[in-house]
Amino acid sequence: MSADQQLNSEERRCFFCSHFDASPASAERNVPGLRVMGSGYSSVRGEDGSCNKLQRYLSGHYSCAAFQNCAHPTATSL
Amino acid sequence: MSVYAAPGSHVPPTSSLWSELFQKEDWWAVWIGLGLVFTALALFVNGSSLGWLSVAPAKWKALPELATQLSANVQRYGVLYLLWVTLFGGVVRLLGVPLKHFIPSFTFVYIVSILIFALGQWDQASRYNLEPPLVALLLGLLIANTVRLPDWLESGFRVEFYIKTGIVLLGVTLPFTLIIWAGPVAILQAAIVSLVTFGVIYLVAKRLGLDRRLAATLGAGGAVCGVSGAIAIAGAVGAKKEHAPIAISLVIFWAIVMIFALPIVSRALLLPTGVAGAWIGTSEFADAAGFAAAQAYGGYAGQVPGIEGSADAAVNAFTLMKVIGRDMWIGIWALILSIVATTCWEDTGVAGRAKSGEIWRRFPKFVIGFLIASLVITAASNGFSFAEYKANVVPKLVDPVKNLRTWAFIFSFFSIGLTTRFRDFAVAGAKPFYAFTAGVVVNVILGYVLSTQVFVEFWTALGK
Repeated sequence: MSADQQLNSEERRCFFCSHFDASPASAERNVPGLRVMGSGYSSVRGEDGSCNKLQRYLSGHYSCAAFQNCAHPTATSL
Repeated sequence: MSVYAAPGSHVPPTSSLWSELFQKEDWWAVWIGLGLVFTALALFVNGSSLGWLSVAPAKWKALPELATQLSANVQRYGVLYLLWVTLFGGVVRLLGVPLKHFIPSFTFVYIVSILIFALGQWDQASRYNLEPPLVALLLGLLIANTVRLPDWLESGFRVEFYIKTGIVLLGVTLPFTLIIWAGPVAILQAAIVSLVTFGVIYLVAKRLGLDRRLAATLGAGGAVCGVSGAIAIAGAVGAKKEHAPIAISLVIFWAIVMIFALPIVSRALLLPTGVAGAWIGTSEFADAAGFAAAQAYGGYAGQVPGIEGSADAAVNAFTLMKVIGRDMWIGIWALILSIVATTCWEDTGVAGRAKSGEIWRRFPKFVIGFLIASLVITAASNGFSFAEYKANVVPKLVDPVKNLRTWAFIFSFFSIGLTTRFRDFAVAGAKPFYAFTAGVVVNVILGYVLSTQVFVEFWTALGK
């Protein structure tokens, strides 16, 4: 069993996948017009991000068979 | 230290409720807005006022008069600049934007905002339709679409951050008792319009053969809260990457049309300010755009014969309709549509169901700051008679905060124009355009009927 398969369902969601990009800066760069009357740093985005595997913009609570665990952040707090 | 991973990195930000307090623009708008409100209140309680700091151009008739008042207050404008650049700059630095980019960008915004604010104080401004929100928007559009600005200069054009900060400050001028009194009607009117508009856009989009997820994204953009609604629902339903940009392009296009159209039509019909504000709140698609339209219309009060109501009534009615009636409910829309998408719509290869916590996670937190500001000032004003309130509380406490709000709004309106580069938008295509436009037509007509016929007495009374 691979390391990814040993993770529970919470740890296997898109938010922790290497294909998933939840960065607000990326969202503002990749979604034309988002900055005009919205924001990548807004609460309404929740944990949303872009999946570079499925080419979808989706919530981090989703999961799929192509999950690849990303290196977890260690220095992202203030 | 940057909170967020570098652009392009796949490393997600931390995702706890505590860390969100310092990672989301909404919360920073709350901290800044409430910080200013409590500072103003503390000074007022101790017999002082924030008035010296919250300088604003006064009414003027001739250019020499304007030059004299600006030069007499140059120190105050300088200190106000330092306040804004420190507060906003500190936050965007924490969010990962280099200060060497933000400071020159914001300085440009601030200097032009002084000129726009001053132009609006000209005694002939309303005669020539030189309302500051409209001038700010047009000037920004002109610059953005004729001059190639360097990308780094956009660091200071934070439309949402400025408008959210302004909304928190707006709480000071909207009594909490009024929110309690008017909130239910605003929620009812907004619910009717939101459900009908979403339904029309979704069904027309489906009839035209568009993907359900695109249909829902378009519907939320038109029915709930514009760009924020579109991006939130795109994520909730797992839309294709190109869906959100399509919806956002259409939202921005129609939002800018409505910034000009709604005040012009309302003026032609001589609608009372409260009624026009309610209509704008029902039929505008984005907060910043709606505030621009509502504030512009409020500027006609006392200037255009036949328009009843106070200047504040347009903004107050708009706020009740848009912020209380529509924005607050985006989390519920997202939860419901997420469940529908994963259980009823075609499989996209992803699984998982949103939980109820999604409602809070997506809740526009700046609304909390707005409500707290309103509650605090209402409580603080409670012991004063009406005469004392007008003579002391308004000039020493309310007006200084109101001036700061006006600054934040002008920064936002100018930034809308500066970031609206039409050449950069996604091409929507005919079918999404038809679907969204069908919703716009229904929304505007229904919003007009509800504001000017069904609830007209209520919104007229609000203006008095």
